[in-house]
Amino acid sequence: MDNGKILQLVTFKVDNEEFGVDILKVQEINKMMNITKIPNAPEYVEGVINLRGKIVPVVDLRKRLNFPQRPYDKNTRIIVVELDGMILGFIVDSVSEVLRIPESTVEPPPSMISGIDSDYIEGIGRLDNRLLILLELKKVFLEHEKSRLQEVAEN
Amino acid sequence: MEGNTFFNEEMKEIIGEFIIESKELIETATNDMVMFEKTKEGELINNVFRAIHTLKGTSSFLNFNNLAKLAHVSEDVLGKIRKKELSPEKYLIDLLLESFDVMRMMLDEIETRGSDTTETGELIYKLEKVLSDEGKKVEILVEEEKAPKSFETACGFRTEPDKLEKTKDEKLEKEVLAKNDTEKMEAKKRSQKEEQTIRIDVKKLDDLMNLVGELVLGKNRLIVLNHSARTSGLTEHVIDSLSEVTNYIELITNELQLSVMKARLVPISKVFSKIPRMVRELCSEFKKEVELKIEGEETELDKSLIEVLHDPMVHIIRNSIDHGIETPEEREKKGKPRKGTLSVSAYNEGNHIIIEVLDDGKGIDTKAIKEKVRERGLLSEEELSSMSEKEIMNLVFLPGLSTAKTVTKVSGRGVGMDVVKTSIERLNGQVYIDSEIGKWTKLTLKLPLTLAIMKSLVIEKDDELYAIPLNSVVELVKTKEEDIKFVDKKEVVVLREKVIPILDLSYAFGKNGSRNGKGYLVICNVDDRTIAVKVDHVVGQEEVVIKPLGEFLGNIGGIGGATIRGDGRVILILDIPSLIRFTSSQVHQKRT
Repeated sequence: MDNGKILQLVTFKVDNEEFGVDILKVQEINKMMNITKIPNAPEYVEGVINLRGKIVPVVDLRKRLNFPQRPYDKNTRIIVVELDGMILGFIVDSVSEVLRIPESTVEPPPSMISGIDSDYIEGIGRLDNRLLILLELKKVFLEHEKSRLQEVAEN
Repeated sequence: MEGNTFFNEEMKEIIGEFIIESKELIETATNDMVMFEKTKEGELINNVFRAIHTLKGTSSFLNFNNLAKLAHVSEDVLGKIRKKELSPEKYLIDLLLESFDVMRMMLDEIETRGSDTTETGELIYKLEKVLSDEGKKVEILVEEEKAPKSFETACGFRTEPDKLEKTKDEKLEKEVLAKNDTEKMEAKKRSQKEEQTIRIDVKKLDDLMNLVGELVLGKNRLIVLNHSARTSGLTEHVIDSLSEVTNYIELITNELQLSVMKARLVPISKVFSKIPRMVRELCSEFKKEVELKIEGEETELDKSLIEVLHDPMVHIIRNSIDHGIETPEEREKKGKPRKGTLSVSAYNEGNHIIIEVLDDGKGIDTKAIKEKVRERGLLSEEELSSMSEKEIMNLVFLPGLSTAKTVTKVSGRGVGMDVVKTSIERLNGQVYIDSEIGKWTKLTLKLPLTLAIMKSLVIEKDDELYAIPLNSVVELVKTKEEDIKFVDKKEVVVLREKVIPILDLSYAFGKNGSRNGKGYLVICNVDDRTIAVKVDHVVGQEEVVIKPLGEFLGNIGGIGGATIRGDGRVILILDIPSLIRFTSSQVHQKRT
């Protein structure tokens, strides 16, 4: 397994969990900005923001991962990522740092972890005494596609 | 290595251009062919011949041998038709049109896969057979004529008639050459005209349009700033200069916007040119006789609209020929001319393009529609009885309603008209139908000139701002509590003796807004249906740049897109047709 590959991750916090996403997927990190709510959109879609003239949908990761709600504060950040050509943002409690970890320290996800559906987890990074959840962004955002399809099918 | 990639890039570009040009050639060839069948005008078949000849040349040069081979055989057949050695029978024209189709398919293949592998053996065989069959006939004729002559020459005589024939041949050759010269001249003239235009990648124009969109937003911000500057205590001089600059920028931006928009305009003939061929095929499929009239081909509209317009037009034309125009026998019985008339026209009306499709067929039977609606339980009896004839006609756009008695290949499955409607609405356009039973049916499409920029009315409801497309707004009414009445527990307003249902945005968007009667009603009309949208405040008229919500959010009921306002905030654009559907489905659900 150990081919000496180093992963570069942007790490952030939601509730008491620490997460990481591949730095190459991250386009930018913004402070909280004005969000326009979208009626009739899935509940975890917080709304849309104006990113220098582009309309970007924003998902609240707390809602998405079923963490309890809490108001946004000065540490709240919007991480903007590119996913299959779509520009999307997600709200996190705070952004910590950029980490480089060897790929060999990443383990496959356990079947159930801290209430988060393990589907969203790409792996668990272990560093010293910290656990880093590597998020599978595609699943986080595209699960929604699936449920919408289901809705259509049910109707 | 580098040279190689350079070559590849270059080659890619050449092939790309080849594909675009060849597709155009095939398109004009197809149209000219259909026209030629009707008029038998020699010039048309010459055009087709030239087009296919060019295609043959370029494709063999680029080593697309299958394509070149097909073009070659087609060219031979066309050559014989041109020289009147073959008469243009229907089956022959069918065969040629088929080969044009296959050529287009091959071009698609080259575009996607880089090679032309479509199976053409059978088609080529058929075309060759035409050539050889006819060749045989001609040969026999020639043999009969020449038999004594060849005998003479074989015996070493040189006879007068032979010489005569030779000079005749030479003369003919000269004529042909002269003709070729004039053709060349014409081609030169054409190319000179073409030099006035350049091909631009649509992507580049899109980028330009986006930038202009941004500029419009910037301009809007400047206007806002200019307004607030008046109250900011700046010196008169600064304020005056600021408003001068603002006016100037506004003027220039508007002009720029218009020019970029114009650069994207394409004549609607791009869509209309496909109609003759389609009509020809549909006529033979449904055994109908139709005279096609096309008007206003030069009317221009945005490139992106042209692309989306194709499918709805196909549906509409098919419907007209299948359901509208009667069979020749039926028509004779009714005392109408055997041949039906289908006229397609386009023209400008203000900031809109109107496309009309009129047929002199059997018209729309509102009774049959009512029956179908009842049968399928799509609307209640009360609703039906309260509708005008025209409203009932427009029910053909309901999903799942088809009045055709038999299911055919293309129509009768209840899809079609509702598809037309949704795709036109997606373009911010509208569709109406009008008809007189037994006489005619007219479909009218009303489309905006451009998709990107739209005039809108900005309103406020529950502390959120929304933009309503101005093309659906009829009027604004200030309301008092007592103006709002209830019918069937639903809010309505009576305006000039017309009862109009009220749409409460808070309700449609699942919010618990304040249910007070104060505020305004924005009366909107789409497809002959009117609703009153209840709003708290009216902010004003604004030009907005439509931005899609994106793939991720997809279609959200009641929302047509978003825009960015002068202060940088995102506001949502309401989709009035879908909101109307929402209100009527509410009514429907309550009753059932």
